[in-house]
Amino acid sequence: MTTVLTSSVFLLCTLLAVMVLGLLVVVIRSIRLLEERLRAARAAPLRGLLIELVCEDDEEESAALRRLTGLDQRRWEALEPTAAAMLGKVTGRGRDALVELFERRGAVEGALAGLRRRGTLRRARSAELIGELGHEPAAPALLPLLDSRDPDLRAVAGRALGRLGDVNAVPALLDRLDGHRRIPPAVATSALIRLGPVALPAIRAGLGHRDAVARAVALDALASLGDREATDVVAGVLRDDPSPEVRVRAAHAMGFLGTRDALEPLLDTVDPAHPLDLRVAAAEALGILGAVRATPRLTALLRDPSHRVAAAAGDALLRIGPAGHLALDFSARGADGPRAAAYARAAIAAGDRGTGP
Amino acid sequence: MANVLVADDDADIRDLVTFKLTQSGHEVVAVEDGPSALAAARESAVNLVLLDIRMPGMSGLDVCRELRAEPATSGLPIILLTARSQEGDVERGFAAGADDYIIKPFSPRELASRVQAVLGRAGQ
Repeated sequence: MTTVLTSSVFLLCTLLAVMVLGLLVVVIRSIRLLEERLRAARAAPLRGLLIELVCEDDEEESAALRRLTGLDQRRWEALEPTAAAMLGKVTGRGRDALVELFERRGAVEGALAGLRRRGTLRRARSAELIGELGHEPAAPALLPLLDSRDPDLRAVAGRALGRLGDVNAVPALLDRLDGHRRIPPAVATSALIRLGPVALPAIRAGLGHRDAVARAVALDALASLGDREATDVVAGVLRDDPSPEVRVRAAHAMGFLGTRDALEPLLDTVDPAHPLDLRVAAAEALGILGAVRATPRLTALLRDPSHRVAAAAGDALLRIGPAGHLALDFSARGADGPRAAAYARAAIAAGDRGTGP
Repeated sequence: MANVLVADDDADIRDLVTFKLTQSGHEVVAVEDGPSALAAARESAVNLVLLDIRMPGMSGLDVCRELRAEPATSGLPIILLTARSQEGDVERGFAAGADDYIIKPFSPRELASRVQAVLGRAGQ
């Protein structure tokens, strides 16, 4: 009897606690929603001024800039998120005018102070604003956020670092792809790409990183940035990297780099002595490369015993253009045997349907 | 001066484009989705259409194809707005019949110049 009573009381208390917690969440969310609505209402009359500032043609200081600079703190705080959102939507003089407004309002100092605050949201907003403003000297202050306990904050810091143009961020980003507190590879890749050509030497150095994910991210970034000078070093990764996945990424990167020097290493890699995934990637990369000289080898691969290799060769021939199409036509008519004819016909049909590579 | 139809689900972009083109002397009708863009292009005397590619309900590419398929709107100059990360859409945009494209983020001044250039090519 006592046990039943104790259990009932415990159940009731748990139920009550859950209800109170639920109510608390609803109240907090409602307050935040209300605050956001009030902020939007305070910002609405000033939004036109912001639009005017961004669209202003005059090189001279505009009336809109003067008025926005002179806003009292309360109204500026209401308008700041709207202005921050616009930073990512415009380029050219409109963006310069917004950056100037933020500088005049002391927003950089405020954001730097915000990075040291306790609240995760506050720190994330500050990091985001610093990134949007492209304030390069703030990069060292963002680096510690990559080690934050909060995964979202780490991701925001990673994205922001990509916008600042400080090449010291490259090893920091690559180092955080491994371990307990890591950042998503996609965040690191887009940050490296955003850093642009200035970061290429540091990204190339990342191909020797101890972590396979870091090497794969560096390869993707080099391919996206079209670092043609990296062809030799990427060919080395394709040949020698201990990770099969990294070698697959290297094959694709070779295709995207698009240099003549990429051809021979890729032709070597379609050889049956290599792992299947790598051969498929190399065949795909030959198509991306678009080298007419790859046509005979790809045509021969239409007869490959592996379905994936033969299908990839067909798609690659389609991608190469007229020379590849001609080879597919011959094969489809049976010039290279029935197996090659089937894969050639499938590639031609995919091209006709618009579902090819 | 021309009548320009702007379709984008982002209110900031709509307002920026509207302000800039109005400042350049054009009349602007702004809508926030594909079906509204299609309806506005059919019902109003529009000289040029600016379409965001990614919109809820109906994409800018679909609107572009529909406009090109209808005799009344097939000759309308169309400019697509696309995010940098969706540059693959540009090729599909030209295949759908677009005349030009603008990558977001964009310079309002450049946008006004591009609109003027496309209108000029269309003889308007």
